[in-house]
Amino acid sequence: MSDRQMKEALVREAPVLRRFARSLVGDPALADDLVQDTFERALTRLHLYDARRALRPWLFRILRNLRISRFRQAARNGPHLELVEGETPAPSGSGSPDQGLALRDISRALDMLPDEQREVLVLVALEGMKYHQVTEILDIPIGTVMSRLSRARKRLSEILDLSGRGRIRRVK
Amino acid sequence: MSTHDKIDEMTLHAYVDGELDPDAIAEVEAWLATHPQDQAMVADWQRQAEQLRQMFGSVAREELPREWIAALDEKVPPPWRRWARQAAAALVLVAGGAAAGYSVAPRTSAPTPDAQLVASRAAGAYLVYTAEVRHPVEVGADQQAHLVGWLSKRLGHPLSAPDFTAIGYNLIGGRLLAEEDKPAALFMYENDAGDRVTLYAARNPEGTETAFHMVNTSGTRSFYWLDGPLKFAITGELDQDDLSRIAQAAYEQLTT
Repeated sequence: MSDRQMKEALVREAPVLRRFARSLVGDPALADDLVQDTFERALTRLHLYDARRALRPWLFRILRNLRISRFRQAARNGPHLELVEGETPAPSGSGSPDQGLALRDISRALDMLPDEQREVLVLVALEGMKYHQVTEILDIPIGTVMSRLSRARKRLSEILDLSGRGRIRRVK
Repeated sequence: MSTHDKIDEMTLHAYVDGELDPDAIAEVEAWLATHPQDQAMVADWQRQAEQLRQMFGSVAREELPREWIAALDEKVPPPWRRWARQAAAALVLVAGGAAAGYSVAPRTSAPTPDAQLVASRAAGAYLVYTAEVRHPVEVGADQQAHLVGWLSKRLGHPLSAPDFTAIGYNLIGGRLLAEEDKPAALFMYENDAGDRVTLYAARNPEGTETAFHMVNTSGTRSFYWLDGPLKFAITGELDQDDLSRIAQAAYEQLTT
């Protein structure tokens, strides 16, 4: 693939990369920074891309690894890493108020998932990645993908179940 | 099809995620028809996926920053870092809604994850204290001078409670908070409709400055910025335009 072809492909993939980044990192500015870094790295490592393989998982892998290394850097500068992980966008879709509440709940619930479960769930359920692609993106065996997915879904159900019963509202 | 074979949980995941061939799908569906508990679990997972897609779907439909397109159109590798900053600046303007009327100048690049913490903490304080009807604040606005003096003293830096009456929000009062082992301050405001917003303030030991940033946390929205000795966050459940108007007013009054 030529440099020019990659740039064209990156323009096509940018919206999906943004969505993936936003589902991992709450702050839109940080998420967009990650996407731009992914562009940069995809272009400088163009020679490492095997054009017979799907591009999107390759880009997801770059983005996800960039995020990990960035958070490692941040961790060296301060101890508060895990709190930053707890930020996701509020519901942005339109719909009935009930639907809005449900989306807000899932946003909170996603925040409460351990990072390793969150990324597997997002790749599979939001981005529609196949299990074998997830093993490559995250560099983990299929058994680990499955167990993280299973725990993520279970955890999410539990959290949503709880929040459905005891939602924080104004108390008298 | 063998009805006596138990379908395990992993197969159910594979079913939900479209990983099965038609024969296996038929087998799972026959199983689900007679196993309501598994059926409910599968429905639950499908609902989760649907909600995730709804929540993040709009991100993929947002227009791409023009800088990105420009950068990817060029022949030579672009100076990405600079564009990243410009993109962050552009976001500040977008976050402000009415870009033309937006006078807050972004001063540095995207915030560090550490800087984002102020938004998490502000959102936490917002959720806990604005839910209170009878005790939302420790010291009421009727003792504003005392309140401001007290919180300034505890933070070790002069503070003020910005005035948002022009936007329809009146000060209710404030309280002292703990940020780790350091004091932090919270001012609360309310409009006639009962909507509440908070201003969170704490010391910024690094003394850094950042642009204005918006983040959505657990259903609330915050604008936050680092301003030398102090860091601030305005938090509410308002839409972006309304909250940014308040944040801008706060910024103008707090930054001298």
